[in-house]
Amino acid sequence: MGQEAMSVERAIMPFNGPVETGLRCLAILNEAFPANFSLQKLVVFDYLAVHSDDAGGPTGLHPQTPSRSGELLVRRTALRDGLMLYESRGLVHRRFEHRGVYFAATDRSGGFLDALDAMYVGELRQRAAWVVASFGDFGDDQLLEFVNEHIGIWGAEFEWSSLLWAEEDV
Amino acid sequence: MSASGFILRRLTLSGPNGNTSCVEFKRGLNVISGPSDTGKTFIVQCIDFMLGGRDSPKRIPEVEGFDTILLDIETSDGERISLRRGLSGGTFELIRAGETLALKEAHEAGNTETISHLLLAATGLVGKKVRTNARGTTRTLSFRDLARLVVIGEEAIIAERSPVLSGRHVTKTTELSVFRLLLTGSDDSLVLQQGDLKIARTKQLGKKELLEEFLTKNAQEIATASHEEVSEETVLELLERAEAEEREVSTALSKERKSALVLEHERKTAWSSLRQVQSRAAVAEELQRRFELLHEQYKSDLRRLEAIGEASARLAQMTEERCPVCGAIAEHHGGKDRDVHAQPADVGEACAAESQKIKVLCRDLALTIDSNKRELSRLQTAAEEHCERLTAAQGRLREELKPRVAALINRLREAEQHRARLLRLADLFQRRREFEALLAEANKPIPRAPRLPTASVGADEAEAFTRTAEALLHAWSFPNLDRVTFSEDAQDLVLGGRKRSSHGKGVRALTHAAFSLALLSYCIEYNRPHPGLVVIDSPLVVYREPDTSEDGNSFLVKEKFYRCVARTFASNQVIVLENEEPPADLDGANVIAFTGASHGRSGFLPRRETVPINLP
Repeated sequence: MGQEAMSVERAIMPFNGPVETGLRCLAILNEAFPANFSLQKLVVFDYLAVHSDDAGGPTGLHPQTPSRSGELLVRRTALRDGLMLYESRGLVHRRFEHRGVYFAATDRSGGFLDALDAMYVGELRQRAAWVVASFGDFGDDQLLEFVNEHIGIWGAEFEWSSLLWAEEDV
Repeated sequence: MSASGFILRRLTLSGPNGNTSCVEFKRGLNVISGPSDTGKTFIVQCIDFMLGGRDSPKRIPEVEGFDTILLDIETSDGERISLRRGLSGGTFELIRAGETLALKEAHEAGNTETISHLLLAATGLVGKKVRTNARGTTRTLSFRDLARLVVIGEEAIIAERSPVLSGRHVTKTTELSVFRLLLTGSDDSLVLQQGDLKIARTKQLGKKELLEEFLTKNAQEIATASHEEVSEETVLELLERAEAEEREVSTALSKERKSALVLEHERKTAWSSLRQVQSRAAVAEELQRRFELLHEQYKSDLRRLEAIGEASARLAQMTEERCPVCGAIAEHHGGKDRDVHAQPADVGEACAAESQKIKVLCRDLALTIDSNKRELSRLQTAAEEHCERLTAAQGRLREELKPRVAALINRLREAEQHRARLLRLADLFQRRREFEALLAEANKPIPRAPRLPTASVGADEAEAFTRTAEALLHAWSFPNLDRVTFSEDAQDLVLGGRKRSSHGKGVRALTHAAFSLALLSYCIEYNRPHPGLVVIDSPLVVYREPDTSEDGNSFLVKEKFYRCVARTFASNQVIVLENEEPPADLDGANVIAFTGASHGRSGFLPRRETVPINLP
């Protein structure tokens, strides 16, 4: 799809755009297949995937910048758009349940990921595996508790709960 | 006032109602003659009273209505002054050049506001000392001591005693001392009072005891202060050395202190330089951390871009199945749900562009990091250098200088203490010498007091005076005079081998006058201070000369008396009060004759009847 060069330069910040966030979610969902997660969970897992060193896991994918816990706030929208993008390519499956909206990988997700050569992808998948293994079984409350306990350490000073668990708008 | 006597000018009596009576005197001989009860003696008493006498003039009836006496005096330099006194006594008023000054009646040594001082000053005998007893106690001369030689009353003139004496035993020494003062001109200022010998001896013994006690204590103190035998000389020597040592140490100490200052300064500069460098290094280190973090960020970004680029490319190749929002298939999509996010293909391009940018930034950063590393290393080296310098200076201060300074301070303190001890010893030695000297003094025997020169006048001292008296008596044709000598014993004249006192009262009166006038004449001739006047009451009245001399002529003593006195004392003043008038042709005399009757001047004071009665 051709877009004008102008709009490309004006609008595009590839970092944490739908392609990247969606890619990370895909990695996480792929490791958890066939389990599904809510957007809320995915926001936290996304943070833990890139800052695994903040939760006692392997070395972080991204450097430990001073205000990194802010990522937990701003990522929600980006993650949703990412999931939508990858869903449009048949790589993510969205299901509506009475509990809410849940996402899962498809049987095409693994192949897609395998085809990527970049080193980052490999490292990402390793951390995604660790996240799912360590936190995949956490209930929503449990995960919330965990986040609240550590959010101060990750640098943020304001209350997360209300923002983090906002009503899912479909 | 210059000091060669004074003369009286006028005696005035005055009363509250304006009554006055006065009599005027002139230089030279003055004769006041008149019958009894005309106030002649009263005049003499007034004069004596006005010369500081304590006793008021006898209260004769005529004095009623008068209460004040005024005496005008002329001093030897021509100054006129007046003395005023109430008849009942008390203080004087001196009136001089229009100013009035109160004068005390009693003599006080050192007080110039007394009548005595005034008259003594006029005479030239202020501050003279006269002896008061055999032991040599002295007091200052008062004018009253001279008064009996100046004013001779009618009772004194016939007394048997020497004209010099008052007859009171207690004052004899003083009176003789005064006589000798007038004759010789020297007073008893140099007579030292002889203390009691016994008292002096006792005092001396006491002193000796005390000094011996001091010396014993001193010896003990010396023994305590120095534990070994030392002489004063040694102590002084040691003291000198101790002082030199102290000076030496002092100098060394200040030298060390100066070098300490230099080192201290070095240390401080090294310290501050180190601090500066350290803080700059800290900044550089912090920068380094940030740069490294940024570097990490860039590296991470590059890796992410690579992955995103790849994923975008793949996604772009895959066809959309359905619009994830409305579920419509791509072919049927209106495009209104297209969000602002670029399509994956564009994302891929953006990634490539972004990658490039970051790579450039990375390269720049690498350069910056490098340069910062070098700076940091440079700073660290500098810090090490400063640190070395600092520790070196500190070390030197601590190990070398401070101990040396401390040692010197110690030495100085010891030297000071040593010197203090020696000073004390030296002091004790000096004290010992002083005590020993005083003891030697106190051990000297007290000499027996030498005999005082006697107060009485010796015959040789009175020789010239005696000759003068003789001359006068000769001039008066005193009968059977032969020789006049002086009796040391009686302190009086001896006429023809016979004491004056053994004569009858007529001779006594006449020769008393001779004595007093001779004294005045002698003083003038030999330049001795004398008040310069003599007042004699009734020198002649009692005397009756023998009828004729050997050659049948009358002696005419009284006549010759007047003429001689008028002539001899023309420059001074002699006031004679007598019953009989002097010779009518007497030259150079001021004669005031009271009549005692209603013609002429009856007397000094008006008779009672003519005194105006005070109206109530």
